Amino acid sequence: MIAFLIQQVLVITTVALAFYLSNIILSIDDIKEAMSGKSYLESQYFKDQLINKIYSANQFMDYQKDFEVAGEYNGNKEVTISQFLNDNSEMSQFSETQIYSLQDLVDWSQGQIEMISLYEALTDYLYGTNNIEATSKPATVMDADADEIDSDESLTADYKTFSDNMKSLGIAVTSDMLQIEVPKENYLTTKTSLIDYCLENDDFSEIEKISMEMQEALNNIAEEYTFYNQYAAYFKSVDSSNFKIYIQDYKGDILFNNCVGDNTNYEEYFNNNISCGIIYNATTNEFSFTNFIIDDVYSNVDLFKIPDQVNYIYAVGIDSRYLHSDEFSVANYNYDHNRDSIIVLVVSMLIILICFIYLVAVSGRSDKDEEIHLNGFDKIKTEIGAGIGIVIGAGILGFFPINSLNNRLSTQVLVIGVMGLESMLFTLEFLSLTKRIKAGQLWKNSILYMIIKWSRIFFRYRKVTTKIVILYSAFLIITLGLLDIVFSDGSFFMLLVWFVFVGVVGIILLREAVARQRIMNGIEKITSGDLDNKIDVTDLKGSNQLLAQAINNIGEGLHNAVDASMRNERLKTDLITNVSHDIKTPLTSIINYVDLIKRENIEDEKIKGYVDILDKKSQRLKNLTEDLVEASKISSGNIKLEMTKINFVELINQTEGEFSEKFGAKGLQVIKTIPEDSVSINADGRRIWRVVENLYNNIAKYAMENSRVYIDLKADKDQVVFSVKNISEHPLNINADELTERFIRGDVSRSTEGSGLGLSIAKNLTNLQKGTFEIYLDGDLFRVTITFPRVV
Amino acid sequence: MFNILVCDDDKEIVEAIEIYLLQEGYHVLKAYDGKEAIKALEQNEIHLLIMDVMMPKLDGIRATLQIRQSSSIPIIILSAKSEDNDKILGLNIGADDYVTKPFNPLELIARVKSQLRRFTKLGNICEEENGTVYKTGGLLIDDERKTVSVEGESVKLTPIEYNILLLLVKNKGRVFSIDQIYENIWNEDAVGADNTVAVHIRHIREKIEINPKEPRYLKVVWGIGYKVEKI
Repeated sequence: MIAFLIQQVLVITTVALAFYLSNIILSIDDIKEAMSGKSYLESQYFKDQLINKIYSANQFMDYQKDFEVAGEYNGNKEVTISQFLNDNSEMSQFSETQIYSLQDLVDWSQGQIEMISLYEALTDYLYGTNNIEATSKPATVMDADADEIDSDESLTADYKTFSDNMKSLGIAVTSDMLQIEVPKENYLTTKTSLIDYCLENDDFSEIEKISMEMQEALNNIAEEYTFYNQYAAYFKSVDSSNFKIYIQDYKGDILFNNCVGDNTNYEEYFNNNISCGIIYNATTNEFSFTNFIIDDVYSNVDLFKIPDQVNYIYAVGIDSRYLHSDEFSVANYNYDHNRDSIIVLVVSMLIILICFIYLVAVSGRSDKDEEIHLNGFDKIKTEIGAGIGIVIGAGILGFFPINSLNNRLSTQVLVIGVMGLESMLFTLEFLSLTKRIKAGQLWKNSILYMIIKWSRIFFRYRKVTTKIVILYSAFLIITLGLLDIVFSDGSFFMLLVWFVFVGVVGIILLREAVARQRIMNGIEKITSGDLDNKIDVTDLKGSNQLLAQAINNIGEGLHNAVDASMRNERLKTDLITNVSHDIKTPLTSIINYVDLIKRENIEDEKIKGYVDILDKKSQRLKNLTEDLVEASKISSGNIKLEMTKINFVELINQTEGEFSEKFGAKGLQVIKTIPEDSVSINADGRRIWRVVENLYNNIAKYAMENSRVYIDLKADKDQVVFSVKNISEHPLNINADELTERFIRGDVSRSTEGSGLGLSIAKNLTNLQKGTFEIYLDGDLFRVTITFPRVV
Repeated sequence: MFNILVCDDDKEIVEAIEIYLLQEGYHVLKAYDGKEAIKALEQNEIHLLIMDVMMPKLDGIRATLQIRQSSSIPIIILSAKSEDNDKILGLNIGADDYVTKPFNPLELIARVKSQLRRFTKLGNICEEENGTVYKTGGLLIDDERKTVSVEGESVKLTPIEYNILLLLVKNKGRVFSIDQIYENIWNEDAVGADNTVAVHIRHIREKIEINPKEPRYLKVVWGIGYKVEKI
């Protein structure tokens, strides 16, 4: 959660920073330089800026030649077209020689040049539009003027006629020439017009070339004039820029200066104010630098070449006091400050990335368990979630361009806010995606998966599903068909048929529901233990009948299985009883004859010992067989209890009387905590005695000699709790449950006497008398707790 | 000289019993199934019958039923069947005692003696209960002479044991709790949580009963108290 908040705050800061940085565009290399600690003036970025300015300055000087007289713009300047052509090697005589006023050319270049055909120009020239009457014009001309949709053929014919007329006047103009577009006649040179010039020289052959050159020149002038004005504003104004340039020819004439007053010594000025001055002496072809590191880039002589000049000083530099606000001051400021911002930006981006990775790693996990926890949104179908994510993502991208359109602070704040919100939502969405992947739900929780799953189910049970689909379609077709007939024909009979049909279908559905409910009831009875219950199948039909029968069969099977297992248990008890009878008979002989041997006067101590062993073991075998029968009967519940009210206190005292000698022989000290008044329970006297006897016997057999035995009886309103505690002589390396399993004894070696059935018998007898029997082991401490409901 | 018929399909058991009985000076006849037993009874004068239950040809229960139609001699059933139901059945159809296999030879002999004494002396030596003599079955207490005998054999009891037994025999069939016995004998309030009485009772049982674990006279009613059976 904290990582998420950090990330969101950083995302918002980063977006804000990105906005701020987008005001200047530094390349990756520039950022690297900035990061490496180079100052602005040392940076490649500055170099490029400076060199660009020098190029511009040189360009400006070119423009100055075209537009200026004595360092000032002069509209009256006489210029030829040739000056403004891209290639003036093969230009026409007219362009080379004819003089225009600069202002005229500039004016014309600012507007659209009006072009007319030479035919029209000549017609105007010869006949005029105002002073020459239409009657004197050739009819053909009138026609051409009047009818614009005259066919090319007739026009060509007119040109031919006109050309012939011209020839007769001594003017050599071919009909092809007449089609050439020429500037209108009011684009005049200082002395003459184009037509005059041509007529004068009697040469129309170059008319096309001249026209083209005129257009090219005007286009170039338009462009140059724009740049000139821009540069002039920058270079010529002393107060507008930090870029300083000073050019002086060998005679000492200042060709260019935007530093300060003319009187100032440029060298002194550069040394004092310019931290990166470059001074090129063309005469000696040498460079000198002020307060600046010599660098190859600046020692490019071509940069400082001025056309038509040989001996001159070219000084250029940046006033690093940055007195004026221009691109250098802005760049300097940004360079320093952006460096810090970039560091912040990069660091915050890294933290965002780390936060993001961390969030992706921990999403869905909690401290408590290993499970992936999905929230409500994660359970929305994958496709819908993805759609929402795409909308949010598109929102992030879609919001970016607004910044470039509008630099106002309010817009930026809005954009930053929206971006922050969007990124938060997008992060949540993305984390949801990772959670889905982690939980393996990406595919399983998709609509497509659902559709495929349903299709599969449909296909697997196609026997039923196709039947239902066909039946349902048939139902729809029949009912809709009938209704269609009813509505179109208004047939009452068909309406009746429709009602009957729908009614029959309804009855069938009702019957199905009833049958299903009956089967459900049958299943419920069987599951609740009534195995004899049978579903009446006589009035069930089709698959319902089969289903009911199958359920009846299952019930019967269960009934038989339970019966069989009960019979098995009884048979087992019988078997054990019978076997024990069969064992007892030979055992009787063994015991008797061992006894007879003992009665003989045996001198040999060895044989006496053997007989003793036989005696003991045969007695043990006797106990075993008796206990075995009893245990098996009790565990199968095959005994009859005679429940009466029993005083537990009396029982304990009686039992102690029975065991006082046995305990005394082992040195066991009984510590008894029992109430003085009688505490009654409901039990079978002999059986509860058997339980207590077994517990005491257990103590007598397995308790450590000369230890204490604790006998406690506690009674409250509802319960009587009896517990015995003793310290075992042998380590009890088994668990409590195992001790009540038949034939388990505390000592695994089974060296002591006893059948191993005592605790099992005691537990089962207790349970049969509705008591609970619990064994607790802790190290060598052995404790049995018996609880019975109290009877008043 | 008593003639005792031993009937069991297991010859070794019959022989073992024979040895014990011979040692006690009885004359022993042997049979190996119910029919043989009945035949032997018809042909000889038999004073006591020890009979197994599960035997070929005629089992012990049926044989007992037949014998009881004509004879009242003591019958001790000796069976591997040790269930309560089996014992009850055997005693109900006319057997006088029921001993389960595997048996303690001494116990069997004691029971034989007891049965014979009762059978032979019944009617002859009739020590009627009067002011100072109390009896139940073979247990007899002469309060005047302060003597106790079981089946004619005298038993030595301590004064407290004698008093307890006397109390119980005087009130045959009535169950006394430990506290009640204590209050009666010691003449003071029972302190409770005491097993003195229980220990004494056990000692008495050991002295007067053939098998203290399955007492005939002094019975434990678990969780309630003690009583002497009215026989």
